[in-house]
Amino acid sequence: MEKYLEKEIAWAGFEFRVPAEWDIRSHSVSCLSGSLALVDRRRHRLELIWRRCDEKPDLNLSYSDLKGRVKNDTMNGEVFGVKSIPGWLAFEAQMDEETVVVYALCWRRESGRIFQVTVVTRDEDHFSRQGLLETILAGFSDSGWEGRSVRWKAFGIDCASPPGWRLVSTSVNPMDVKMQFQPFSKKGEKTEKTQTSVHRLGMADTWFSGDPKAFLRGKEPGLDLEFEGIYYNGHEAVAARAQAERRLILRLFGRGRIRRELVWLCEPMNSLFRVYTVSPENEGADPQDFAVRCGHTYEGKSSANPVS
Amino acid sequence: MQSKKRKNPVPPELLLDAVPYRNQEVELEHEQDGPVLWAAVRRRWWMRRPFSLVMPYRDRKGFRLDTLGMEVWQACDGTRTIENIVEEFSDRHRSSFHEARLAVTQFIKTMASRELVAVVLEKPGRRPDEID
Repeated sequence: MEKYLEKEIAWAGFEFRVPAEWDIRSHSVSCLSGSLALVDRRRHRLELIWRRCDEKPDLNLSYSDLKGRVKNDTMNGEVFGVKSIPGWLAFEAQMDEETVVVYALCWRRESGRIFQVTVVTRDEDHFSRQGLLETILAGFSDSGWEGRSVRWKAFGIDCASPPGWRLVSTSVNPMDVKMQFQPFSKKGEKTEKTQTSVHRLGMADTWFSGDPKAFLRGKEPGLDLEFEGIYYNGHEAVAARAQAERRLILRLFGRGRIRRELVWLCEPMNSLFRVYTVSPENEGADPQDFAVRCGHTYEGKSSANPVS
Repeated sequence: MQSKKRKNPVPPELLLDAVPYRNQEVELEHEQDGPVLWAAVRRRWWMRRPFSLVMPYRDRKGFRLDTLGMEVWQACDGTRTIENIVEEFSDRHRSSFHEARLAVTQFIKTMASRELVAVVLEKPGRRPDEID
């Protein structure tokens, strides 16, 4: 069964594996509460919902409440309990002649969150639905996010935000994915002056000239970038540094910020990765702090690059 | 006032099985700046005589394609489903199926809206090259 679950997804402090053909259709950026929906080529396959719940909830009550609500939508008005999966309460419901939907609930002490997983299975699936659900749930791990480094592995990007940083926005377009992070104070206030952006640009063979320096100059024509060639994660990369503020007056008042860039081409993924940070000089956020790696496995074909 | 009802969109699972056919009337010309598809302009009443004597209208309109557009246009030969085209595109450009699907289906939709291709929803269980 494990061989079918080739895609690893890490998001908001939890990780799990799904079949290689599944991909994220919609997502939330909050670690406190949100949802993640996955689809295969043709239909909706999995939904994961998480909510903050510091104290251990009465999971049995939530379970029977959910069962009651689902019962009304089933084909024959019945739901069936699923063999116990450690840490999870699960049941399945026959929605039509081909479709069975499995619901599972759990609460994780590590993050103080309650999770609800819904998996849609159909008769044509080449693996048994019980096996699929068990493997997905058994591989689910949640290590929390508060005061920790959080791993984000999705859309061909694999990175880890340092403790105190949060994902604030994403932009997911074909061959153009961007994730933006900002540090938050302990009180939960955003630090506007500092930010990091992780960007993946696909189909590089069709548009990238092969010169990362020219690419950066084209993107930031107003900046006086100082370049440095480095070796990063198995790739030849270019690191660059410049004053982010063009106005001298800001720099004179100590409000200047430093922009640091890191760009490399991952040929096996045919993608250009660009990580940049903007931060006040004394804070010194660096693109390498995010440990960005080329993070994709294309429909079962692993990236040929052994390092990334 | 009631708004015009929109046609039901084709569900994505059916769209993948659809087969795009090139419009046989469209001509492909390779120009210096790249390939161009020339399609005949449907003549409206105000494009005919006597109006056209005063203001001549063009007979055809051109759509310039880039390399990727050309790849997809060539793949729309009536033997491949959209799913096949997306698979080939994603393999060629080492992108994920889902990423390639968004790019390819959007492009095919644009071509269909300009009447350069016709997308035929095949009956389930029939080979794409079978024609009634």
